[in-house]
Amino acid sequence: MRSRPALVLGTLAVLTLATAVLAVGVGSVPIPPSTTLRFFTGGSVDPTAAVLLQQVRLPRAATAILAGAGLAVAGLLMQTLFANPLADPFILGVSSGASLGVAVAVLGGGTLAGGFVAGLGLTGRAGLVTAAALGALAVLLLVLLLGRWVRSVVALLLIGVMIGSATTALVSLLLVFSDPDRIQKYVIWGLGSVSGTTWPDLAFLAPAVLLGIVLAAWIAPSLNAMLLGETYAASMGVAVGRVRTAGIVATAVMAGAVTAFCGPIAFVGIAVPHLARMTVGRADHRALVPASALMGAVVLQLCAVIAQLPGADAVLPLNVVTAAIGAPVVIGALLRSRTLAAGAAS
Amino acid sequence: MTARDLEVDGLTVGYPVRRGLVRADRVILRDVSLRASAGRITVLLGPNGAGKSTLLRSIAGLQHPLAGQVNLAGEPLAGLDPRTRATRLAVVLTERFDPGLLRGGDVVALGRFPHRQRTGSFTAQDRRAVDDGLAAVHAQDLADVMLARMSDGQRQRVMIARALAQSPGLLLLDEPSAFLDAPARVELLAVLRRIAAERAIPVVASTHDVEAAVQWGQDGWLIGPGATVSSGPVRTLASNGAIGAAFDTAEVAFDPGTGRFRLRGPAASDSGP
Amino acid sequence: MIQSALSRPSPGRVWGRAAIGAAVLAGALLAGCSSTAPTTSSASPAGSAAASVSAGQPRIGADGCITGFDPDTDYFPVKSEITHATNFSISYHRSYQVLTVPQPTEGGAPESYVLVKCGAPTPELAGDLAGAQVVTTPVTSLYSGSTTHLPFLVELDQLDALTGVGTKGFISEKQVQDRVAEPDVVEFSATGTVDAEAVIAGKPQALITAGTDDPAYAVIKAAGIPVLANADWLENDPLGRAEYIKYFAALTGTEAQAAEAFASVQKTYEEIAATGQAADPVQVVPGQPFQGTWYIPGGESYTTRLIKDAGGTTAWADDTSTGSIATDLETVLAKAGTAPAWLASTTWTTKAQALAEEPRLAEFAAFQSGNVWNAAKDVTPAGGNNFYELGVARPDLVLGDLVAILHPDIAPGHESSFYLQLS
Repeated sequence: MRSRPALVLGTLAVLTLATAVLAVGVGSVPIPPSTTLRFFTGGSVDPTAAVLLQQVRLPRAATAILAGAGLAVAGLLMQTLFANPLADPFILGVSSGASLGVAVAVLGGGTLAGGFVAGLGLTGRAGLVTAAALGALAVLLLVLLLGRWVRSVVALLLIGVMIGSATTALVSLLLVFSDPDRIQKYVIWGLGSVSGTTWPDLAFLAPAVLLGIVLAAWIAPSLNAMLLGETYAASMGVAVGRVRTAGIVATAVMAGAVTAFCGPIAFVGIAVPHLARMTVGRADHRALVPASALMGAVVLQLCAVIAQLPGADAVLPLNVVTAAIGAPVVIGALLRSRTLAAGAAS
Repeated sequence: MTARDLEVDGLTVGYPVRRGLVRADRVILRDVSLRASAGRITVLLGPNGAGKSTLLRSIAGLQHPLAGQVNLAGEPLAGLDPRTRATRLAVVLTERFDPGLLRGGDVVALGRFPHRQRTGSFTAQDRRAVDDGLAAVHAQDLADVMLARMSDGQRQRVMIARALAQSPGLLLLDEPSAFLDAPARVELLAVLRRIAAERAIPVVASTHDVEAAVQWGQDGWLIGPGATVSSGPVRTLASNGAIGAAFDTAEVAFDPGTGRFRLRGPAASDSGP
Repeated sequence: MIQSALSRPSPGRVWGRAAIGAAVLAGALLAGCSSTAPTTSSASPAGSAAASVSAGQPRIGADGCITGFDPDTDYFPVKSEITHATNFSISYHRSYQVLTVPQPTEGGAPESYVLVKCGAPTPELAGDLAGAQVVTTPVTSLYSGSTTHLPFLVELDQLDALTGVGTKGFISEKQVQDRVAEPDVVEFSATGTVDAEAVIAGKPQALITAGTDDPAYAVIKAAGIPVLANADWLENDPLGRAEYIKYFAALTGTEAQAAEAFASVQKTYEEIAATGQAADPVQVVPGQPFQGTWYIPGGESYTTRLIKDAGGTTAWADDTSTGSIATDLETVLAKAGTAPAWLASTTWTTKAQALAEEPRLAEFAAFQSGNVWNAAKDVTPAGGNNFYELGVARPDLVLGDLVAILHPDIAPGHESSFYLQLS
């Protein structure tokens, strides 16, 4: 039984690689698998295909891995820290903060804040990303600041939810005063996408996600102790406040970076930790952190491939796929899982 | 008196309250001095709301005392960082948590957290502490059982095993028999007495069950009227009327002779077999 | 002595040689002169195109590319002068042009593009131009992200350079439809979002945007395909939008035709505007409500400018904004309820459709008299509207429609190009 987590992790690593290879082979322009293979083994390839693979397919696959891993680990952190199986990476309002930043940049063209962002010469993609990151960071700082005055973790959760609602309200306000073109642009951002990133973008996204995962792995033993509740954890010497801060920072950095580059991607953060727990079978975060990361990468990669609708002309928005495919899967898995049966017996 | 006793010296416990710029702390117990002997079980008694939990949590370092000192085996507990303090004492609380996927063995192994290296690997010493903890409460067969499937009594034993796996010099339990039936309560007190003796540590347990405490306890701390605290062998506290003074109401009185509560007045003649 | 005989030719021989030399020189001068004679510029009113004569002899090959590059030669004999458009400008630098767009997207930072004539070396780009995208002209393969570009390509006879469009179904002009039906023309935005892979695989020399942003553009630029912004929709002057023919002239080397075409449109527009403004201004209800909100065009916006030039006015004419004013049905009813004419910009073709969307429109005087007009006469099944295609390149036609609507007595029997009356 000791070896089960190792087996699961090994399988997931292989799956991550396999789905990435699959994703690189799929796109709106057909590229024969032999060409792709030649590209990776250093053979000579038609320059157009090389550019497509290098500039379009590879960044997209890398983004799906990073975003999936980051969101899944962030969701795991939030679920453990708040002892809430319905928590997701955006529960503290991080995604709402990023959305507000983007809304100000896109919709607030005439307002003071929008003018500020435009004045920085930052509209267009760079501006969108910066605005989203700034918004997420602002919410993070607010939550951390308020967290110092608040003892109970439930209160912190409520603060996060309230901040989320407040920023959503502000976004609605901006939407009301905008014209249809800009609203559409904001809505399209909200549908989520892993296709819009370039290699310079990944130079920011990769360190952010890796930093968050490393931080999560660092506090994994303490997170195990926190499964017994904050009081027991404190009685065992866990620095609960510091662990909580580290977890919130890791979540905000990962969720904020992913939202900045990909828009708000739903569902992955809430569902993958549950899937990871079910497959690993243990509550040990030292296995759950890497398992969530790898499983998140696999799940989002598959969703991105499906969203491409290979063979058809249209392309689905990413959030439609993550929700439509994922929700039934998790519900089905939960219905069959032993944890639920165990819970019913107690 | 041994070198490994718990000494509470002039402890004042309560909650700090700040009204504007003025501190107007809410004091629960004032200037308490007590001793819990190593190798023996000390039961902490008192009516509801008297401050038993507050006292235990203050000793355990889960909340700050307002004044005074707590020493264990001669070492003050106040100045210790949380991790070191966790190697000195362990607690069993009434708090419940979502069992999730945890098994009995996982929970007990978590008790080794304060002793673990940064790398988190499980040493032979850790393994032995876990096994000893499970053995002390006869819970070896619960190691592979999911917590979600255990009864309250089984879960309680696992939590005690976890506290023992911490290799503490002091064991504090807050209402450990709260969810147990009568035989289980008696069995628990017997187990705690054995643990205290075998490990030569003080064990302090608060309880509502005065009658079982009087029958099976050894030493006692009693929070009486006016937030006064008296201590001594629990039978003495019963016979000298201290328990009666603390608990008697208009309807009910504690009988030192039988060690039980009885109803006062005409209905009293209906009691008994 | 032989030497002395050679060094002192006879007088007859000297004159002969001088005559031959003079003839050769004269012939060379004549040939040189004829090749640098100025091209006859079109008879044009002031402010159209300025023709300039180059000093040396630019050597251009058969494909229009420079063969022997001379850094001192000015390879742009005809230079465009931009008089009405404010969101693009062109500066000439002998062998290359710099096309600058102050607002590539709304609120965006200015972008400059270096258009190098083929055969000339790429200039050193420093300062503001460091990192600017470089395109080789004349462009023979471009992707267009907006239907407003297409009439210009038709007018400049450069339809063959069009190798990709966003959505084929939005195109109204028959000539362009025939062109995009050809197999080599790619549709790169069929689903509404730009397909980066399709553009990269098609390898156009440039993609011209519609002046909006799309996440795929960053990926396309990273793949080495220039993405040039054309934000004509941010121009508020109808003639300014029509002047974008010169944007495409810069890309295709057809400055002379562009100057001629624009001059003609300007002349006709100004003539029609003169007739419209000679009459008393007619009050107009502009736009229509959507889900309870009514977006009124601002006083300085493109729509209001057209209305004013056609001899109309709105209750918001004194407003100075160039965008839309969001207001509600109540306010519009109060301010424009009695206006005799209504100009909508939606998909309605019948009064019943209008009422289905908002029954209270029946309260408007213009609605009761039936004088409601909508720019939906020339539409495609997929929803493309020629008003946003030919209408942008030919504001004179739009103005003609508007004058006929607002002042029917001025132009009786006018055949409307874009507007229909709701039935």
